[in-house]
Amino acid sequence: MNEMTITNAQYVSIDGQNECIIATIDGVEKAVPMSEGNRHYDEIMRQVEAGTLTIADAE
Amino acid sequence: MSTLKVNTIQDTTGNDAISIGSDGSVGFVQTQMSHRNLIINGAMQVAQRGTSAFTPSASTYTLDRWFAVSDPGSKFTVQQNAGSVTPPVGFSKYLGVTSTSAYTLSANNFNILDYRFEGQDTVSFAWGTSDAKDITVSFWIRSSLTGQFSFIVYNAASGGTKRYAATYTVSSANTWEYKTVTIPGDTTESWGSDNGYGMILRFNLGTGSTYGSATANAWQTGTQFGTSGDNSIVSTNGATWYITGVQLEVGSVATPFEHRSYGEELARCQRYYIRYFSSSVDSGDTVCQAATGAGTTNVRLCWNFPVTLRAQPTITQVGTGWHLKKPGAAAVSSTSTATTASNWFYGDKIVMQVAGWSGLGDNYCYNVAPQSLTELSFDSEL
Repeated sequence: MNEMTITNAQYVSIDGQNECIIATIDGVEKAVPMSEGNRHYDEIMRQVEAGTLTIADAE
Repeated sequence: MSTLKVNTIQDTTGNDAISIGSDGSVGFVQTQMSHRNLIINGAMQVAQRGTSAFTPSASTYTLDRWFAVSDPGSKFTVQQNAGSVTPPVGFSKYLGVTSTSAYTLSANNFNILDYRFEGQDTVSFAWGTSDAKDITVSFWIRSSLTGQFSFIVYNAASGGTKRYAATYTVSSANTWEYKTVTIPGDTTESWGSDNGYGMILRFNLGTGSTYGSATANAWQTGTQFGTSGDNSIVSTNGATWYITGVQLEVGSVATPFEHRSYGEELARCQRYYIRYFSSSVDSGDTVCQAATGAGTTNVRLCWNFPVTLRAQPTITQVGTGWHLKKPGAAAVSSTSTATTASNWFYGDKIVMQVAGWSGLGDNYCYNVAPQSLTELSFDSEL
């Protein structure tokens, strides 16, 4: 089951590395750290692995 | 007047329950005298996310630490003191659930209210060992519907399968009733013991047959959230389900609710969620933070928290953005969202980067302040 509706996911590059994901989660834009144990990051990765979400490259 | 002189009081099976020292000191052998209640915000006092009604389109945290899921969405609202009824004696707040329609549940639908524990906060249960202890859940409930309801406790740690479905009965409509349920300790499965998922306490507000067929008052495995005889709040338009005074403690006896001060309870909640700023109170424009230029277009600032957070938080920023200030120059603005890096979290502080500037000096010192934010929040919830 999906506990969150996630759209517009995009990596943020800091010092040349992907370090954060900006995404709209349940209608609100959030900055999600790429840190296991963060519930938003864990759900993003779960949906990516399920093939229901794609994260755009950093600008 | 009479006097009873003893040094130990035992239960009916011969286990010491109360010990009395020769100096008059008293020790409760099995029951903690403080910090008994493992539920944070069980009195529903803290509502950092606001006191307006929450309508979970999918899921949302509501009052602090209380997480609601509606599938399909928006079948109920959650609000502190919804309906403005008089709380039970000794309480000023409650969590109020109100059904938004007379919804006919499909098999896969579920509507629930969760309390999610860190694994390390439940290790005193000794679950998964032969010494596993009973726990007791107690709460005040007031519903417009009478009859059977249920909640489950389940192992949400990675690989966990065990769950216990407990039923309770609302006898009189629209009347506060005190309920207690004792759950025998689980001796067989490994439960969480770190800052990740431990146990989840989940109240059933209306669940279809796929998830609503648990065996009542028994340990089991599976994916069920409720039992087949449960009432469904979401199936009656305007039905209400109000709860407060939620306590979960080790042992087989429900002790009186352990009241804590608002300040103490707020600090406990802030381990999982901290919100700053509100347009009606302070939008942050005067909260200057020292910042460092990073290249010509970014600044980095350190934000200190009042407590140590459970895990690296998600940042939510609502409002205009940020002001950058330096001596002898007018403030300039950026509407960029603050971001962070995976190694910029130190428990009680985080480094954030705000982009969107120009002409900055790398490693130069600046001051940065929120500009008309209605929310800057940090979410470390489970």
